[in-house]
Amino acid sequence: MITLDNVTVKSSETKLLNGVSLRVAPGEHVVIGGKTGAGKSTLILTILGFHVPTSGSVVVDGIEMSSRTVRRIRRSIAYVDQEPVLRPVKTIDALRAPFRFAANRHQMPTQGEIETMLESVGLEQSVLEKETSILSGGEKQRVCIARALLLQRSVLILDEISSALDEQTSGELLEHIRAQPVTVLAVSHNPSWLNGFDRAITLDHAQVVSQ
Amino acid sequence: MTTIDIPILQLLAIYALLAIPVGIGLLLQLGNVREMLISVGRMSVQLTLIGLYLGYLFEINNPWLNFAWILVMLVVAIGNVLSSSGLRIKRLFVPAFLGLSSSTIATVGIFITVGIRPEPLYDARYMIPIAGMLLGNSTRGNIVGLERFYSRLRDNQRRLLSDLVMGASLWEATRDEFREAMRAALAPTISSMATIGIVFLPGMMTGQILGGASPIVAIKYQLAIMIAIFANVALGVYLNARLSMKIAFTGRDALNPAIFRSTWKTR
Repeated sequence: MITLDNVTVKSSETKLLNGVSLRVAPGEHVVIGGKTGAGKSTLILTILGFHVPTSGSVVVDGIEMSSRTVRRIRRSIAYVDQEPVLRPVKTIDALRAPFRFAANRHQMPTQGEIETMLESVGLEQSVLEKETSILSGGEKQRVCIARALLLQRSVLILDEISSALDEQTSGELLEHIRAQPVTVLAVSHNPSWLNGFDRAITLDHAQVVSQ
Repeated sequence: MTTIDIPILQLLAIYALLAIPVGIGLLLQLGNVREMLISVGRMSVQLTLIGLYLGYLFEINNPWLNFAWILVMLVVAIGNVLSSSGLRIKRLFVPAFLGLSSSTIATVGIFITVGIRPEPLYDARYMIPIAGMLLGNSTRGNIVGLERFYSRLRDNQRRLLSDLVMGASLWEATRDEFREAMRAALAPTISSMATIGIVFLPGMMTGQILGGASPIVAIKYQLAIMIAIFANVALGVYLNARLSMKIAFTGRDALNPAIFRSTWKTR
C-alpha cells in the first residue's frame, strides 16, 4: 500500500510536486499519466525516498518515510527504471546480482525459479548465457522486470518501462504485470497502459488533476 | 664532498635556456608565452622564498614550527586535491583533512621513526622534505582517485539508485566505482615503480647524488620513499573516498549535487 498525504517537493524555488495526495490500496494496480515535466518521475523518486518532501507524508506498507525508515521501505519495493539498468555481465549473473547484497542473500533464487520467471516474462532460456550488452532493448527491459519480480517485494514501481518497446512487446508485458498479485504503481504515456490498469491518475503542473 | 654552488650570474645564464620555449611559443603563435613567463616568475619567487624560509626552519629546528609547516602543506594539498577533482573545498574539507593527514602522519612517522631515525626525530632537515615528497605524490593520486570516484558515481546514478532500491547498502552500491577509483589512483605509482631506474632517475636520488651522497645511500632512500609514497597513496585515497561519502551522500543515500563545483542536475 502507498499513501501520499499533501506532499510538496521543492528544488530551490520550483515546486516539483505541489500538495499531491494519493492512495494505492494493497494489490491495486494504478497507472500515472501526464505530460513530460508534470512531476511523474519526481513522484516515483519521492516514494523511493530519494527526494525529501518539504511538507506532507509518504507512507509505504504502513511505515512513514524518514531517513531512519527509508532503507526498510525500499526493501518492500521493486523498481524498474525507464532505461534498463544492467551491468555488462551474463544475464544469469545480472539476475542473481541483487541476491549477492547482504540484505537479500537468504533469498537467492534457484536455477528452476529463474527459468520459470524468465518464461513468464516471455524470454527464451538461451538468454541466460548471453551477455546483457547484446540483448535487444525489449529483452533487456524484460530481464529487469524478471529481476524485480524475483525479489518478491510487495510493491512494484515501474517508470515508463514501455517507452522503448514495440506495441506487441509492450502489450505482452502489460498483461504479465496485470497478473501480479502485488501493489503496482506505473508511470506511462502509452494509451493501452493508461486504459489497462485498475485506475489511472493524471499529473499536471506538479499536481494531481484526476484520479 | 659538498655540492658545487651555482653563483647567481651563472644561474641567470641558465635562464637563457628560456629563449627556446619562448622562441617556439612566439614562432608558432602558441598563445601561451604570457602564461609561460608568469609560471617561470612564480616558480622563481616561490622557490627563493621557500629556500630562505627552509634555511630558517632548519636553523631554528623547533618541533612545533615543523609540525605547523607540515599543517600548512596539508591544507594547501587538500585545497589542490578537492578543486582539481571538481569538488567543493568547503563541503569536503573535513573528511579530506582527516584522510590525508592520517595517511601522511602514518607514513612519514614510520619512515622517520623506523627508517632513518634522525637525532632529534623531528629534525626539520628530514621531516620537512620527506613530508613534502609524500604529500606531493599522494596529491596526484588523490586527485585521480576522487575525481574518478565521484565522476563515475555521477555517470552511474541510475545504476546506483537501482541497486539501492534492490537492497544494496551504500557501500555495496558504490563498490564498483570505489574499486575503479582505487585502481586509477594506484596505477601511476605502480607503473613508475616498474620503470624506475631504467627509464628515469628520480629527482630525490639525483639530488642526493649531486649533494655528495654515495649512490647506494641514495638508492636506499629512493626505495624507502617509493614504498612510503605507494602506501601513502593507497591509504590516503581509501580514507579520503570512504570518509567523504559521509558528506557526499544524504541520509537517504542520494548523491548530494552540492559537493560538485560545476552545476549539475540530479534526476
